[in-house]
Amino acid sequence: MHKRIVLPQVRTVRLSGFQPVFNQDLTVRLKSGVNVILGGNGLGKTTLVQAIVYALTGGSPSDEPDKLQRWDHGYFRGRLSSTLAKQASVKVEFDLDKARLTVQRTFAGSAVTALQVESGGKTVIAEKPAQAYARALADFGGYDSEADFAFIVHRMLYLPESRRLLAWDTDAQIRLLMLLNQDVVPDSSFGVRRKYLKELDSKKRHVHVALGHAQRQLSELMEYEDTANEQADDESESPEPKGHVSVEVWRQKEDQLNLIARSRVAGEKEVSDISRLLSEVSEEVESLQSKVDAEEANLVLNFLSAQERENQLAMEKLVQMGLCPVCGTHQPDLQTSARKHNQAHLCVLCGSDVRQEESGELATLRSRLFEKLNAQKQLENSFQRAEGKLQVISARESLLQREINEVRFSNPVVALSERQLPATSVLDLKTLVQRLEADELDYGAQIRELTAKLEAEYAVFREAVSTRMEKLRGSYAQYATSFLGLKCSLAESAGSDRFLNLMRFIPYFGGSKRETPESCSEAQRFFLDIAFRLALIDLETELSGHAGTFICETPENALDMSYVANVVEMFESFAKKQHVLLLTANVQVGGIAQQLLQNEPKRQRSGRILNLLQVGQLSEVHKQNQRQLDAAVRKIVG
Amino acid sequence: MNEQGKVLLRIRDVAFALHTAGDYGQALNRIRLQKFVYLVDVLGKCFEVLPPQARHIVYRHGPYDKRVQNAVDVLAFRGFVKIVKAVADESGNLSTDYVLSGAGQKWVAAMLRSEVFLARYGVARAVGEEVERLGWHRLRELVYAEPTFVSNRPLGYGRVLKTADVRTRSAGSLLTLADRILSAGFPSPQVTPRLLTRAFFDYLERYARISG
Repeated sequence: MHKRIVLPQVRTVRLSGFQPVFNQDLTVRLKSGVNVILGGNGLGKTTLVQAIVYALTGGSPSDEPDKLQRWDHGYFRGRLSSTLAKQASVKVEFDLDKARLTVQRTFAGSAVTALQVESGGKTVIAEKPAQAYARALADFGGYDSEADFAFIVHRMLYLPESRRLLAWDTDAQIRLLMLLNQDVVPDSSFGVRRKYLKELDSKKRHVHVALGHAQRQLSELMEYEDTANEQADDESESPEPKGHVSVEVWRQKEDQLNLIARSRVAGEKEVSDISRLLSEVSEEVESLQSKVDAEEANLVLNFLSAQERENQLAMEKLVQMGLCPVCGTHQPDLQTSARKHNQAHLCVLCGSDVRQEESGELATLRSRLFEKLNAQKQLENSFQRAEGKLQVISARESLLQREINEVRFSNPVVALSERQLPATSVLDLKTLVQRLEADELDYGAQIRELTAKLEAEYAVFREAVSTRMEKLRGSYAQYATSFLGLKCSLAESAGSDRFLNLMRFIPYFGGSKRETPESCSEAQRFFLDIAFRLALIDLETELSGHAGTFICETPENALDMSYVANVVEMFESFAKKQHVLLLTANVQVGGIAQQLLQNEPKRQRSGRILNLLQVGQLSEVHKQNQRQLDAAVRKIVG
Repeated sequence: MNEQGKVLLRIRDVAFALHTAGDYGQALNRIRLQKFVYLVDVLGKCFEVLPPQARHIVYRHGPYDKRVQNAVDVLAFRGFVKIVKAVADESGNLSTDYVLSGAGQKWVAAMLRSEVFLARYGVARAVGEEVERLGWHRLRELVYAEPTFVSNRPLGYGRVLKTADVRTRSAGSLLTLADRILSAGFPSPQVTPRLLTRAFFDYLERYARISG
């Protein structure tokens, strides 16, 4: 049995050389409870939390199956100044069991470049930091591999803006639950053997195809030999075989053709896969675009109305003729000031700035849209590359087919009689068929045996963790009900695994199990996923005695104001358990950040907030609105 | 989004088109206005600006979006656009030239103080610059050389022009390809939207010249 794993509790983050994202080196100290990174668009909220996750894990787990979710040090390249990037680094100090680790990574590669371990009153600076980090994660955290640690961080402790859900994901849930309960898992290689089971199935399918092919060849060869024997009886003086060279050439070309046809099929599949992904992303882009369009249309209407108000007759009379819009008397001073205001596009009468403001929602929507557009652009490039490759392969295939046809029709008799012949003997083929049949049976038996073992282990595991899962359900029900405002619990549902009857957790509320993400609204999906993660962290804390960390990017993006109090209640209840809760938030009065901070003692609030308006690179728009933004920050901090 | 919203977005596009053309001393009639807005929609891909979901279709005088005409009518009615010339041809069809009025100019200036509109205005400026370089009288032939229109025109009126779809023969497909090829050839500095725009218009000009 393994020792329990312990979750990291992040304490300090130090960034250096992060210009131009931040205009100075940055040190952020996180406290148990609520911590907020506050900033507007483009001020570096995401960069900062990604840097924390990067320092801990070096990017996505090395065994991440989804290509689109993979990232590493390269992610930061475009964000950092090319001259400073070589010296840039991120250092994160975190507690793991009784040790405090300080891990540093730079951006030339993803490996750990420095590691300090404080434990039992001793401080050790590792000579080989990369190896030492893996060892420290194992010794203090109970992690078998860095990939396991990275998996825990990415799928449980960190929820990025891309909103990759844990609820409904059977594979991720199984791996997570097995890791969190590794002290009672009968065999820790469950995941590896599940993978092996799939490989066995794939091998069995290949053998099955090869067997069918060999059986066809055998039957053709036997049929040919029968015909040849009959012909030999009929033609006692047979002429020299014609077209021998052509048959050789033909066989070579047919082999090439087979290879190329396989490449074409693979290419077609790739094109079709990318096309499907592209359609999905394009649909998301269209949906976001529609929202952005609606906001922009409102803004156009506002500008139009404002301009029309400015053109109103009374105001025109004031500007053109100096007539007071109230009493109608001639007022040259008022006219001069009105003209000045008019030229500066200010309110004609009072001179206030009446420009139409972009709504916060529009800024958020546009930011999300640009992210999706980037994903779409990458897929479009992949699509074109795959299609180009496919065209080349198809052209080569056509050419080969034409050459084969030429050989075939230049020597039709030999070609037609020899074409079907496999380059082997009946005896060889019979042996091959026997071997493949045996292999197929063997693989089938191995699959049955392994499936039964894994099913039994899974049943033992479920039995062993049943009490813990009850606790998980209790904790989840508390968080989820806080958020939804109506009773919500965790239900179990059959996962989609082809071999094993694995269960997954899904939300249950309003009298029905939510079998798919689409059966919940966007906000429900997102916050119920947060509730699930918080409940998992709680469970692990209860078992190990060490609190954890939860990092969440701009949670309010998916939320309308009426749910803010519920979300605040959910986060507060989590924060009270000594976990580190790190949220990023836009500068938004009345949002989650403000309400969470206002429940903290006033003197502690400034220590729980990092205001990126002070350290980030402000855009022209930020600078123009700095006064309002500062006022909003003051309100948020209280 | 409702119909009003769709027309409002076109009101914005028409305003930017007339503002840009006006800076080059050009008035646009209803057909040239359609073409200019179409080119802005097509080139938006280089600037990461998506066209509004109201789409152009193949029609008698080239790509046509009825909301563009609705938009310019609304602006004329509200006094933001002036009709400077109205001529009827022998068939009785009325051709009118549009320019922004003083109020329209002020309105556009006010809109451009918001960051929201700058990117789309930037596309209109880039198109204006290229059309000025190649000649405003060639606007029609440039649009008739645009790949999405070229491939859809023979299929009849009413075809929706999906200019950004890389899976069909479209401007979007060509621009994505050009971006990749140019990016491979010029690693530093990166390929700018302006460079792509120039390359795309050179392509249109060449295609128009060869196809006659």
